[in-house]
Amino acid sequence: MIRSYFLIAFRSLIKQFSYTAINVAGLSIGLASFLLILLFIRFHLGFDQHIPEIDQLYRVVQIQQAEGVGEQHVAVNMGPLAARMVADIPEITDAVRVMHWGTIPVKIGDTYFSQDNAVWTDESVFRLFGIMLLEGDTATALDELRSVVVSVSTAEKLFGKSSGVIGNVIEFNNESGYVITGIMEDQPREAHIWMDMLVSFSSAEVQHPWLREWGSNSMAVYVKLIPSASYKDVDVKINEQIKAFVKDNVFSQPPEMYLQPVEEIHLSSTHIKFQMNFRQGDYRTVIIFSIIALLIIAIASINFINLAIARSVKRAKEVGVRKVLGANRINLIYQFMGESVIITFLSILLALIFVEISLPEFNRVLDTELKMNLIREPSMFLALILIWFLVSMFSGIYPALFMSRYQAVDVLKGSKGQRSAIGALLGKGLIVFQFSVTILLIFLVTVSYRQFNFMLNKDLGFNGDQVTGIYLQGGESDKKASLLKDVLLQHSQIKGVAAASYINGVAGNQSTIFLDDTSNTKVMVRFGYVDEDFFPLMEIPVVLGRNFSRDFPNDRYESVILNEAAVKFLGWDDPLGKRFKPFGIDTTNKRTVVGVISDYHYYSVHSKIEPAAYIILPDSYGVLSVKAQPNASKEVEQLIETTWRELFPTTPFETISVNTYIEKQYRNDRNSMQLYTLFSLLSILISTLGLYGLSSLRVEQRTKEIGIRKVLGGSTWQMLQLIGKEFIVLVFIAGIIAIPFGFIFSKQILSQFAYAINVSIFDALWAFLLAIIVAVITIVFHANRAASSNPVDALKYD
Amino acid sequence: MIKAQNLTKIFRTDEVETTALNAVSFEIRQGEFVAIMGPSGCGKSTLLNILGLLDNPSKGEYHFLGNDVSKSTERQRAGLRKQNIGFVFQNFNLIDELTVFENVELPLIYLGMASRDRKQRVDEVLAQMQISHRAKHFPLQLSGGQQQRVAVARAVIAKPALILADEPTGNLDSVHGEEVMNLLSNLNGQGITIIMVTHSQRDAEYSQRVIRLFDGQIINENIKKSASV
Repeated sequence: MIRSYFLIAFRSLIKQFSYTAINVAGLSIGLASFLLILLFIRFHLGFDQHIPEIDQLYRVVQIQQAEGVGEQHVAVNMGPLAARMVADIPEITDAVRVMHWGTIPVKIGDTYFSQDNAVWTDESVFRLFGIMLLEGDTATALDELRSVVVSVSTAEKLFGKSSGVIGNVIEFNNESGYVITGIMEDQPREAHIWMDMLVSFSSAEVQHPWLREWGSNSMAVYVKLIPSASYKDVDVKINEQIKAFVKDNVFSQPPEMYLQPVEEIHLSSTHIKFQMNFRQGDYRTVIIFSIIALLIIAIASINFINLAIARSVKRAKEVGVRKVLGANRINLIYQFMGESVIITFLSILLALIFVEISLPEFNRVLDTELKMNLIREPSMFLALILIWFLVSMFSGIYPALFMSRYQAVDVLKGSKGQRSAIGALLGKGLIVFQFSVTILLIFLVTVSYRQFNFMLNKDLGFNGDQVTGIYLQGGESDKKASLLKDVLLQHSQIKGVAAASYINGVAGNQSTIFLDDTSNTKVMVRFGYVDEDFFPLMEIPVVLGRNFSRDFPNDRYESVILNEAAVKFLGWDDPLGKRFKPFGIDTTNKRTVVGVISDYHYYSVHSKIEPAAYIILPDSYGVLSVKAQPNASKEVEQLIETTWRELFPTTPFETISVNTYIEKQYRNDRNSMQLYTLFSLLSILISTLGLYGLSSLRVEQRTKEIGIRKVLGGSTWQMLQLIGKEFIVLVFIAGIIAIPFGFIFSKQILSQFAYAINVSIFDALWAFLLAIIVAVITIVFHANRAASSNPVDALKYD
Repeated sequence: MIKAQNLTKIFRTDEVETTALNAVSFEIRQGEFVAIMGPSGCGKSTLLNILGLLDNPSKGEYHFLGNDVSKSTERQRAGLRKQNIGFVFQNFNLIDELTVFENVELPLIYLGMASRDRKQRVDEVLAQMQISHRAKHFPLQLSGGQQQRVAVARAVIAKPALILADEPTGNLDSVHGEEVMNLLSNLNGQGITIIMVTHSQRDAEYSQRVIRLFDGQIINENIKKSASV
């Protein structure tokens, strides 16, 4: 009997090819979208899962109450904290410090390399992060001062071979005598922290003795708890014991601390500053895309349901005959479910092909490594079977119940199995649902797109056009900067050159600075190390006082420039002449405010502009910014490279443009926007396919009515209205439902940005209008054919 | 075999009540060939649907094979139907997506017969109906007469005690019509009870008794020849 079900299902599907094609096309696009989103979500949920016993591993996060900034969560901590925690809190069995200071210069012989992902750390890193050594011994590899463990790829990059490099000596961070003591496997990139080179922490402590003190937060601290421990209980102990210790011995106002499960770092850390979180994700994005995936699969299944019900009129005879011949309702339900099973199966096959084809592009655009291998991943295979079952059930059960209800006697009496009132209402409800989702998605895309453009085009308070930054690698950055500056400024194509800690003018660190009096006035600031030319080059206006100037040689030792945010926080009407205690790396010179610059977005518009303090500190320059004359960018880029290679032939040459820097900050936003766009286009396509099929069937069912109306004098235009109205009204209702949700979700999306657009009613109207246009075009095609046909044909046909 | 007492069928819509059958009573013995005649709308097909257990009467009693089935559920009626009754329709009602073989096989599938037995039985019946050479064709590839032969084959495949034929020659030309009537006559000769609704006096000639209906009531019963019991 099962054979018969499948046979007739198969033949019926072939016979109604266009119907089958619409169903399979819609469902396969829906399934492909669903699978892609599933892979995307799995990719994000899979971060750090390679770490053994990850459920016992936590990162220590501080909650600081920073003057001028407000409450902030930071994932950097004090040097002695890790050891103190292991000693004082019995539930903490192990801890590790990991310190990452960006790209570090490495020199082998005469050749410089820029080493990304180099960290100073303790030997416990092997235990806590499950890092295995291919060569060397984890017990001793990081014991000695200036010990270095490299990954296989790093060994290949530095030495041209992946083994036998233990004992080699390198220069690290401009200090010689570092010895390779181990080779580790390449660490997975689906991790919040990337480690290509491990350097014994003691090496950093010798270079920077203050790392041994409680005074600064410079490194991440991870702790491992005993399996039975509750981290919330441990939080309490940390805040009782450690905080008390710090309060008694270090600061009067120690920060709150809490443990963050390492499993949650990748997706739940957007509120945390100063953290190592490569390719940070956002659980909100994951939730939004999970919802979109379910909605798209629902839209595609609804097509199936609606088309099957609309087509059921045609199949009433078959149902009647089968019932006369002895089929019961269960037999018929099985049969119609069989069709759903086949269509879903075909759609899954097609969807897998779509996914396979689109994955490389998807990965390229999203900068991900999504992969699907059904043979190697039985779980994925099982998931597909489950999807097959669920989608078949979801799409097939209602049509099966609906069609199997036809009474043999009614069908044989000539009744065409008209749709019941409930069936018709449900069909309409489903179309409304589909278009609500579509309108909602268009709405969200519109808002995301406008926000993205707003961010890209927002006046950031500086002009980085034509500016390229050269990384001052390989040590002696002040000398390099001045040497380069002298040479480059001789060229007329170059408008200006300025040195700073980074292309945005600020360094990565933040600290509290104190007014040099007894008032204990303080403010937490971002530090910026800039030369006299940086603000003019970037066209950042000095709104009060003056810029640093070579006419004032003491600026280097005595002056500071604040941004407006700092002044505003301090509430000063006349900030010029105010004096601060020594701060930052410079621990000897008091600084006087000589100027105030207008606020500019040194970071993205995701965050508010925080107080910043700028000083001249040539040792800390990291980037030399070069501004080209208009239309001379290409020549200047060439010129920069040639000059660098001539002056520093052994040091790697690397640049970054301001535009790239800005774009990088919005990469996640761009990715999300592209995903929204892709999936809303697909959802429009699927809904349109459904509407196309449904309007075709409805027109067919109303052929006789149209014929009679035309015989009675109805015009083609009136017929078009007759048919079109039925669907357009539904799209209207969909719009009314979707728009409030659109406003709610848009607000959610925009809440991630400190500076955001206002959602306007025009966003809603545009989404609505687009859906109407798509629906009209779809329906008009069929309606026009029926409305303009010869009425006699219609009547004869019936 | 069949005993109808005061069978009444009333169709109701919101505003109109139509009495399709009005207290019809009659008996049909096993092996009879009965024709039901009357003008359009007189209730012939309604009566046939009730006799074929496709529908329940509004009032009255219907005894089929000794059981009162007038208040049976659809499930009970479906069970009796597939065991005992074969149908032949004016418009054949073959399933277009199934081949001739598969159409004829269908009742046996619903009876749960094993595949090998089904094949053997279908082959026999197709041979009997002289349509074996068309077994792999689809209905739309056949002439009207051939389609009706397939329909008759399907009606007899489960060896029913009763065949109900609703205008079996209504869509056929006279040659093919005669062919089908001969088939039915032969089946009756083999002991199968046949009840046929027809407009055609010529077809009615094949029957042993004619029941004439008018406005839902029996107006005349003619016994033409003795039933071959």
